[in-house]
Amino acid sequence: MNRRMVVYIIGVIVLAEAGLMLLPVLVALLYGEEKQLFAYLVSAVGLAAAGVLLRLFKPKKKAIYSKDGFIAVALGWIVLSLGGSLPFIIGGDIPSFIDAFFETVSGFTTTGASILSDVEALSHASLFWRSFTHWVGGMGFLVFVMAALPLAGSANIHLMRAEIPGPDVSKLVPTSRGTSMRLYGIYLAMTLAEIILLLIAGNGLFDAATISFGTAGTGGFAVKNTSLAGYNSATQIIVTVFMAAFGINFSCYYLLLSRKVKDFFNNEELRVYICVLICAGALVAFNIYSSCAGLFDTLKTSYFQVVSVMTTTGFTTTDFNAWNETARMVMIVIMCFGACTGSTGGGIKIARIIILAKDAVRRVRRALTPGRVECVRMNGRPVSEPVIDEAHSFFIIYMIVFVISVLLVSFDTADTVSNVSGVVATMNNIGPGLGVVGAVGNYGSYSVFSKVVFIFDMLAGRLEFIPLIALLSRRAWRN
Amino acid sequence: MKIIIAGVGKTGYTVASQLALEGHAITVIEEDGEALNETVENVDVVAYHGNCVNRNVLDDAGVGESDLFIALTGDDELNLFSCLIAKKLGAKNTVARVRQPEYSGVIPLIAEDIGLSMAVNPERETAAEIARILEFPLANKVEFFARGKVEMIDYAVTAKGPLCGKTVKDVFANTREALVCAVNREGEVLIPFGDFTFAEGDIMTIIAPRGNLGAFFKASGVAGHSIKRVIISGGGRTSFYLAGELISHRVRVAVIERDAQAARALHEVLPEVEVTVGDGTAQKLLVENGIESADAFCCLTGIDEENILSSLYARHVNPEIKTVTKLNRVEFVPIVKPLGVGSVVSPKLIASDRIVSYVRAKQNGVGSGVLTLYRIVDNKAEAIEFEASAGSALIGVPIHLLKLKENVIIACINRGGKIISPRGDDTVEAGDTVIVVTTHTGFDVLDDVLC
Repeated sequence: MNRRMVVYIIGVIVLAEAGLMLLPVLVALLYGEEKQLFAYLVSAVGLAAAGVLLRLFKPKKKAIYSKDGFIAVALGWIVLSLGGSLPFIIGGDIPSFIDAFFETVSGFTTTGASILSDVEALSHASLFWRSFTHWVGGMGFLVFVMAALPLAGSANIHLMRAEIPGPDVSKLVPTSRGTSMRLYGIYLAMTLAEIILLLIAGNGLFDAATISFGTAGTGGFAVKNTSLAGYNSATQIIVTVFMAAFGINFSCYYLLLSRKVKDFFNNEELRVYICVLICAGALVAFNIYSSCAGLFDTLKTSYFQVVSVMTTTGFTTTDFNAWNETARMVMIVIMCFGACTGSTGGGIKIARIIILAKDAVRRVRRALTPGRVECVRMNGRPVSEPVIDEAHSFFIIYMIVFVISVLLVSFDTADTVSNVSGVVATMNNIGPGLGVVGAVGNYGSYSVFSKVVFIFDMLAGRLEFIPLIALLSRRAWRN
Repeated sequence: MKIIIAGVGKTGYTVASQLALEGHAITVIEEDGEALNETVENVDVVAYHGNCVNRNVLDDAGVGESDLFIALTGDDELNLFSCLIAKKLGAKNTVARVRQPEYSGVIPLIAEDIGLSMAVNPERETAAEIARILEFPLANKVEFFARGKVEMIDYAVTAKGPLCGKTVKDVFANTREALVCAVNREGEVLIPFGDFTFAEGDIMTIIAPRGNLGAFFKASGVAGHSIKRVIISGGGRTSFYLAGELISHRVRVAVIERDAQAARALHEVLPEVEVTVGDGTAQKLLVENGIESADAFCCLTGIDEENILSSLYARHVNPEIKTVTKLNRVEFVPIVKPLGVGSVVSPKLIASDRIVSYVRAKQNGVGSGVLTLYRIVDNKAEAIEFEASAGSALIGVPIHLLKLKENVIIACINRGGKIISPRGDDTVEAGDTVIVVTTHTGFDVLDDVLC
């Protein structure tokens, strides 16, 4: 393992985070929050110093391999979250270390699970930072660093593969740096579009920006205790559309930009994604019609909630914990489905679901007619067997982590529904689950041990398990 | 540049990784899934799985918008055919690897018609490289600049040699024949000036107008005797090209080839060559062919291990002999070099070097003062050929008065075809082309050499 290069990469991450922390400093300045100004400034300076120090370890060789890429990404995210929690502790907004760490991990992994019962008590600077971590974490922080500054050539590709979710890394252009710059270009443009539309819908700049950050990263931190329930219908509809848009594979947008409109609409994952959204929304609407005020309100509520949960955002306009059993179950199922590959969303990902489903059908057919040759196809093209294997092993690891997490959390006092849905909601980076962790509840009542389990689930889910599990294996640390 | 590489075997892989490191946008097309995976996992490229003449694959890879299409599959015809198609689809330039000796005569006939920019023949390039090495038995590597008018060689300083312990001034002040432009001392590259003292183990890079090096070595007391008798082990394509080249320079050539038919075929085409059928590693046979008194021994069989062993044996029985060892497995070159097998050549590396320098020349042709750029001394230094325009601050000022950056040397001046090996009192004039050697990177115009 090229330890010095890993340390060097972490140095770059810490330095970049110090730079990003200057934004909440500006917010604190704007709102005259002196205590927070101090907290964020001290954190930024401290991180910058640590970053410079770590970068003193000039690597002898710049070449890294898959293993180093996974370790660098996993450690990078942990260090990033530790650094991001500093101002919460120093500024006194979230004085407990584990809570501050939980909140930051939840931010960067775009989960949106909170331990706070009163969000509105936070300072503006902290509210901004919380939402901004979603935006930064959504597209992948290392991808962002790569777009901003060139690392060594071959290092990029291993970092990118380790950080970007999905069964297959598809690049938009041949160089990984060029790809990350284009991805961030699209991301930035869509975020700005949402901010502008939310301003037009009558929201203030602070709300518009923080909601947009939460939507773009498919995060879900809101600045109000009632999440998005208190905003007007126009705002809720804009957010619904943008949540759905950020759950789509970004390379689809690149197809649109390069005028391959036909390829865009023929994309199988996109079609299934939209189909599932529409069906799930209709099913939920049918079940909650009686408790809503008219058809428009029903559709608005059900589609907002379905889109929010399926894209793994986690904004709420209503307490879906109070819905009937069918509607609640639909929510849990689409939580696991997640969004499209190459989007900012989490979950198993639609592409994997498609591959797994088609492979299951193939296996049944093969059992009935042995010797029959059949390949799984996506977008009309054969999917190679290693990609199918990847989907299988992902699903197995996903289930193992799920079962162990539920078991570990069960030592706590909460009920089964809360525990299971809590694990589902953190592993898939959604945020709110059912029961005590539902839309009106939070994770604050869990013990420190359970919080650590949730933190692991959030990071593991965001990085698609392998990097974080690699961190636990002794082999990865050996030279 | 947007570059498409069809076929990522060893050569394709080497070319792809080098060009990707230099920041080009590389797309590769390969039929073999395993080779493709290997490339995608280690090199920053986009890959397409399929045949390189399949229309869908070519369209997906974006051949139409590419600046360069390089065909490196194992099949000559496929390479030429795919280049023709790529050109028709809109690729600006195409390069094909063509190995068949029979084709080398006909490629110039059709190159224009099929729009081929360059054909690379690894064996032929290797033979040319070996011929150059044999021209200067003291040198390990020879390169050409300024359309062949300038040559650059690596010369290792030995403890017993006359240059050891001398300074740059001692060796070069009184000669206008050549100039040392870089020294590789234990892996570190230094640009030497006046009081720099050469030590044992240094590898000097010497630049000189073509044809001057012999005189220079004679004047500085380095005993250099020319090569008159060469034994070649293995009678493949490389040997065929090499033997032909050497014979035209009146060198006596003996070839040992295991296969009787191949041996006969070689003798039919090149009657001057003494061809013996036998095993190139057989010591008796080598002695019979005069290994103890030959000037050079080239091991060019298809088996790396045999080549290495034969070279070691030759050096054992004849310590004065110059040996050249061919290695097919590129990754072993750094391990084999220190074994004492003389110069090591690898056709795949030579072919990929050729392609990479073609790309660099294309790249540098656009929008900068750089005419050509070569990476030298294991890519640790650059030799850059600039055009000196009338507005340059260097014009008319004696070189010793110029405030050059550290680690920059003006190595050669080409004034209308006349090559000057510059000293302190020389000046650069408008219209000259100037070769600058430096360990800096990213020079765009000649004035970048100044502080």
